[in-house]
Amino acid sequence: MAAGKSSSASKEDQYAALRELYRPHIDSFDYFIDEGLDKMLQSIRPVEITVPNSPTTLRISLEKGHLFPPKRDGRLDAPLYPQQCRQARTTYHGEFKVDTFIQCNDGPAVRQTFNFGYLPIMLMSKLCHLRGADSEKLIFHGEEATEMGGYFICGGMERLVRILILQKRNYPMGLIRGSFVNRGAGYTDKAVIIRCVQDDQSSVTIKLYYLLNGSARLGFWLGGREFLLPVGIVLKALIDTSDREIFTSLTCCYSDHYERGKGVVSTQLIGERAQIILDEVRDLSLFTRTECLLHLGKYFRSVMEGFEKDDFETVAEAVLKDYIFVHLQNNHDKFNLLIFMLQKLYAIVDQTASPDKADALQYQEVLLPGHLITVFLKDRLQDWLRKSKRLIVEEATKNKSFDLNDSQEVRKFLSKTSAYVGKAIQSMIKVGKVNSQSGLDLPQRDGMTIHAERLNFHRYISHFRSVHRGSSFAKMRTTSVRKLLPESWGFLCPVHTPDGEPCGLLNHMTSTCRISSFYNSEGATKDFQKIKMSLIARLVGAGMAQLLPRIERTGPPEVLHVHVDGCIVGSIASAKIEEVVNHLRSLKLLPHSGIPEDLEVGYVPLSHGGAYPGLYLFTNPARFLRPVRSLLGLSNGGPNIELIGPFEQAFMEIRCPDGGDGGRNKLFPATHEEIHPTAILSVVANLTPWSDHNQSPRNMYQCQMAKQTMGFCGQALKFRTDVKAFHLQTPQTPIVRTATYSKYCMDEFPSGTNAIVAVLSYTGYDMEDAMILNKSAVDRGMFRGHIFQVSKCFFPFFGDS
Amino acid sequence: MAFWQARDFLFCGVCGTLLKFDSVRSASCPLCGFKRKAKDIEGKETRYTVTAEDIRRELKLDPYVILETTLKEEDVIVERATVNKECEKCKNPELQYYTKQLRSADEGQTVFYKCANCRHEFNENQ
Repeated sequence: MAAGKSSSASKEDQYAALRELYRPHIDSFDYFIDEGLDKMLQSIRPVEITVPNSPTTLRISLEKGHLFPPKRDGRLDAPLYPQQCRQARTTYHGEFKVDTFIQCNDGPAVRQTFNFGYLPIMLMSKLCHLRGADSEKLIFHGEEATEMGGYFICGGMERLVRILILQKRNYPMGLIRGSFVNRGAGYTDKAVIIRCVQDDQSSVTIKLYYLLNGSARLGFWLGGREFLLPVGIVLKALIDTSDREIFTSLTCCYSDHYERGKGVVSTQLIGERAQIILDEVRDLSLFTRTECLLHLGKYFRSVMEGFEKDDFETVAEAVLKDYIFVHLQNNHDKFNLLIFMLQKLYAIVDQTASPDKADALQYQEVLLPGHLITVFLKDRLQDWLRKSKRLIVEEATKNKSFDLNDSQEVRKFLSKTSAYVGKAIQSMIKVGKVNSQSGLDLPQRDGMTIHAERLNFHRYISHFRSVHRGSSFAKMRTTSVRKLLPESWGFLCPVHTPDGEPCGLLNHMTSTCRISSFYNSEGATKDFQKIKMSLIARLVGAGMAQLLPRIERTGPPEVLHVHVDGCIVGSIASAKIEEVVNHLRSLKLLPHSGIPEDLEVGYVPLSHGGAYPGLYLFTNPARFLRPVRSLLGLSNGGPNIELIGPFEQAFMEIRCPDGGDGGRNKLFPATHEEIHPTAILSVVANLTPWSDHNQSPRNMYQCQMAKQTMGFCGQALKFRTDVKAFHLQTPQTPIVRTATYSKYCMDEFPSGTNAIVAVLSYTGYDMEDAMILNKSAVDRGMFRGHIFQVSKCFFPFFGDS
Repeated sequence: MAFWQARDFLFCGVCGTLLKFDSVRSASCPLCGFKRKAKDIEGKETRYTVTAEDIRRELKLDPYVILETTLKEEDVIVERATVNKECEKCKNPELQYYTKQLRSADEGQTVFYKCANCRHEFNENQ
C-alpha cells in the first residue's frame, strides 16, 4: 500500500510540467465558475418594462447564476463523464440557472429562478467530475493517464477555444494609422487608443483622434456606430471644473526651462491647443458641467437602449459610466486619464515621444476561453432581456387584460426564449462563430474555436500553446504583423510557427511562458482592490506624491506619472524613480509583501523622443509572464526567480546564462539573467536535438513535421470514437533526445522509429526524394501503422405493426 | 512663473471660464458676467519661441549647417570586395562582388559580380 501510494505520488509529480501547459485555459474557466459569472450578471443593467394603459412598471434584474456539474439524463444525480459524451455524440454540459428579481413599481422584489438551458463545461475544470483525478481514476473512466483537460466536448467533438491576441488593456497606446484620416475632414493619422476592460472582462475601446486645428475628438463604438465627441465636452462633463483648471491641468507638464532636452515630452504649442479645446466648448455655449451633461444626454437618448424616458442628465451619466473609461469607477480618475492621454497625443504629434507599435508583444495580451464565454454570455443574456421586453410589450398592446402584476403571466413570457441562451453558447463553441450585434469589441467573429486534433501528441499540445493574431490579418498584404519582433523574446517561440499562410500569425508560447490569471500562487482568488491599495501604500512610502489634492502638477522630465492598471495614482520624482522600481521588484520576490509576484513593473525611462515615459504597473489577468533570475535577489540570498511581462522586459537588462556579456555597455549592467538558454523555445521546438547546429528554417520545418507525423495517438485507443485515428504499430523511444522530451512525458506517446540510414553517394543509386528501404526490416514491421476510420451506420427498423 | 500662470489673464477671476475678447474696453465672462478691464490685460503676452531651424524642418528644407560628419554625395565611392575570378567578357583577372540573400533562407545566397574594367555585371546562384 505504501509502495503504491509513493508510486502514485511520484507519478503525479511526473505530470506537473505537462499540466502547467494547459493551465491558462483551465484557470480562466475556473474563474468564470467561481466569480466571473456573478460579476457579469451584476454588471448587466436591469430592464424596466412599461406598457400603455397601465401605471405599473416592471423591473427585472439578474442576481446570481448557478452552473451545475454534468448529469446523466434520467438518472437521479448520476454523474456524466466525458467519455460517455464522446461515445454518445453528446455535449458535456451542465445546467445553467439564474436567480432574477422581478419588482412591480415599489413593491417587494420577487425572486424567480429561470433555466437558461445548458452551458458546456471545460474538462478538468472545477465542475468536471475528473477534476483532481489521479491516473488510475482517469484510466478507469476511459481517459488517458495524461488527460489534462482544457477543452470542451460538443456533439461528441473535442473543441478548444483558441487564444487570441488583443490590445493590452487599460494602457493608452499612441498610434499612427492611415485609416484615421477617413474619419472626416480635418482628422489626422494620429490617435491615442485605450482598451478599457471592466471587471466582467467586457471592454470598450476609446480612441482619441488628433485634428488638424490642434483639438481632439474622443471616439467610441455604441450600437454598431462610432460616436465622436469633442474632448472638451467630455472633460467638463466628467467633473465640476472650470476652464482655467482644464488649461492648467493640460499645460502644467510644459516648462520653458527644459527646452528640448532629454525627457521633454511637451512643447509650447500645448497652450494654443488647450485654448482651442476650450474655445470649441465655449462656441457651443456649454459652460458648466450640467450644461455639458444636458448636451450629451440630448444626443445620446435616442441611441441608449432603455433610456427613452429618462431625463438628459441621467442619460449622460449612463454614457460616461458605461462607455467612457469603463475600467475606472471614479470620474476624477477618468478626468486625469483623459488629460494624460491628451498630453501623450500632443507629444506624438510634436514627435517628442514615439508612437507605440501595435504589432509588438509589449502592447498585447490574450483573450482566454473563460473571458470569451463571459463576454458572450453577457451579450446573450442582454439579448434575452431585450426580447422578453419586446414580447411583453407586444402582448400588453394586443391583450388589454394583460396584467404586469401577474407574475405567472410574466414568467411565461420570460421563459419562452430563455433556453436559447445556453444553445447560443454551445453553438459558439461547436462552430466557433460569435453571433452578436455589437461585435463585443473583439477583433474577429469567426474562428474562435478549433478542433482539438489528436493526430499525435505534438499537435495536440500545440493547440493549447498556440496564440493567434487574428484571422483578419491573414488576408492583408502587409507583412508587418507577421514579423518576429524582439519584444517577443522569451514569450513567443521564434522557431515554432507555420511556414505557409499563417506564418507569423499563429505563434506558440515558449515552454516557460505563462498567462497571469485571477488566482495567486496559493490558488486563492486575487483581490485587485486590496492589491491596488497595498501598492499605493508602498509607493507612497517610497516617495510617490499622490494625485488627489492638487490641480497643478508637473510632468516629465521632472516627475513621472504612476499608473496602476490604467489609473493614474500619483507621480514620482525622476531622480528617485529607479530606486522605487528596484524596491518594487524586491517586494515582488518576497512572499508576504502584499505585492503579487506577477506584478508587471513597466518603467519607461526618460529619453530623447522615445516612448512616453512613466511607471506603468499592471496587476490584471491575461498578461504574458515568464520567469527570469533576478541578480538583485540573488545577491541578497533570498528567492530570486522573478516573473516579468513583455511590457517591462523591453526596458530591462537581462543577460544570457551561457555566454559572455554580449557586448553589454558598462553603463547598463545586467540586473537579471535567463534561467536556461532553451527557455525561448516552445515545447515542440525544445524537442529538436542539436537545434543550435541546424539552419534556422530547418528547425522551423521540424516543428511542423513533428506535428504531421503518424504517431502513437493514444493509449485509450479502445475507447476513442474519433472519425479518423492514426496509430503507429511499433513506435520506439528515440535514441537521441532532449531533456524536454522526458520532462513532458513524450515517451507516453512516441512518434517515430529509430532507423539506421546509409548514405549512398554515387549518382546512379539516388532518385530525387526517393528512399530505399531494407525489405527484411519492412517485413519485420518497421514503419507499420494503422488508420482507424469510423463511418456512420444506419439500421432501418423493419417491424410488424 | 509657470507656463500656465503666465496665461492667467485669459480666464475669469471669479469662475475660471475662458474670457471673451469682444470689446476694446474689457474682456467679459460669458458665464458669470465678470469683466476684466482692458487696462489689466495691457502688457500681458503669450510668447512663443520659434527658431529658423524649426521653420526649415517644418517646410522640409535643407538645414543651414551641414555637419562635418555628413559625407558629400560625390565623395562617397563604394569600395566593394574583390575576388580572383576571371571576367567572362574581357577576361580581366579580378572582379568586385557582393552578396544578397534573395531566395528562401534554405537556399544559398546570390553573388553579384562586377568587372571594374569593362563594367560587365552578372550573378551566380550557388
